[in-house]
Amino acid sequence: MFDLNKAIASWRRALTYNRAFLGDDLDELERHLRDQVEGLQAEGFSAREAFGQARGEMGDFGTAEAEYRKVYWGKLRRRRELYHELRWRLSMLKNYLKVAYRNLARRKGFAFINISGLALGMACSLLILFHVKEELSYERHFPKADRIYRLNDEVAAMTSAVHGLELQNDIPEIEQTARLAKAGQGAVKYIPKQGEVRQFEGTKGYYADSTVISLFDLAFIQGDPRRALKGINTVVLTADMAARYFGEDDPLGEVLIYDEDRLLQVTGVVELDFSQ
Amino acid sequence: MIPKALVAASLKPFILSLLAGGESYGYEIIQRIHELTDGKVRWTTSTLYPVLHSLENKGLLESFWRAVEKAPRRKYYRLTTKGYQALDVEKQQWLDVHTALMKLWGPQPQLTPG
Repeated sequence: MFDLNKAIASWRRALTYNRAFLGDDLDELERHLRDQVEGLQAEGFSAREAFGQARGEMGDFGTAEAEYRKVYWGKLRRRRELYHELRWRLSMLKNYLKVAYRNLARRKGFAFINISGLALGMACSLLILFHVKEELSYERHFPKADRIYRLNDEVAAMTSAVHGLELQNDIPEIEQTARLAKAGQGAVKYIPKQGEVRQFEGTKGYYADSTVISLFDLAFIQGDPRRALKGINTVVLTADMAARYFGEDDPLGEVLIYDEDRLLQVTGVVELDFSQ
Repeated sequence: MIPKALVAASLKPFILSLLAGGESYGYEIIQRIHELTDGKVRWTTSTLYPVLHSLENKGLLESFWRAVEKAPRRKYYRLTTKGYQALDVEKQQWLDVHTALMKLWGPQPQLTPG
């Protein structure tokens, strides 16, 4: 024998502990169910059929819960139960923490392995994340960075010397190109007006088009950015290099001897931070 | 089959309009909408009740309980003054859209045959 009250009671029980439904809400819904069952029975359905249909129309708990959740806090505010609710949640949280701690204290070895494993995993993930992010990025601090691209061939970040000019001629979208070629690690010699000859080994330099200056918006401390690097045999130093080679002396206009036979005139000093 | 978006958009105007005619409760509201739309629209409890509660939270409706013969009491809703004002706003907005469409469709819109 189908017992309507039992069926409804069991339906209600399933929802009772759901935080989204207040007691009043369940009363409202139960009343709705009963009204609908009555209506269907009046149409001729049996109690079981009526309940089945009414319950089916109510839909699944999932969607109902989702919709009720949306209005939950508003309801609490209206009923002035916010404080009460928050205190309850806090005490539940404290309870969970207490129990968790107790359980871990009972099995210290297990706890140790678990927690240190988690910690190790998190640390490794973070490290990998940062490493990959670092590897995949170039310097972003140049103002035109989002419009600068580097041309590579398959193996290295190098292409042939004519690539730059040809591409700039053929492709109108390219605003500006600059070529850079690594110079050898030759010795740089400086013969000052007074004092001894200074020689520096292991310098790092690049052959460069004059356009690098505007491309990277190099900040000139000394020298004219528009004319430095226009001529052959000009060189622009970083502030660090200038300090290293010339110390107190003014580098602008001075001549450095590169590799024993190349004369380069210093036409500019730029502020360039290589830590990026 | 009326699309979900349309059903959702018409929830508020329908509820406010129905309750403007007097107090009512959830089950009755669903029944009346079912009749009004010639059976084309049937709201579920998950559709209606959260909206009723939301409107109540916003102060457009107020609710009260009425004891019924058997077990759970019934929750009734009625419009507040704010609710009547909101109804006017809804009416105006709906009519704005409606008159614009009517301009395109003409006073007696015909569906294309076939």
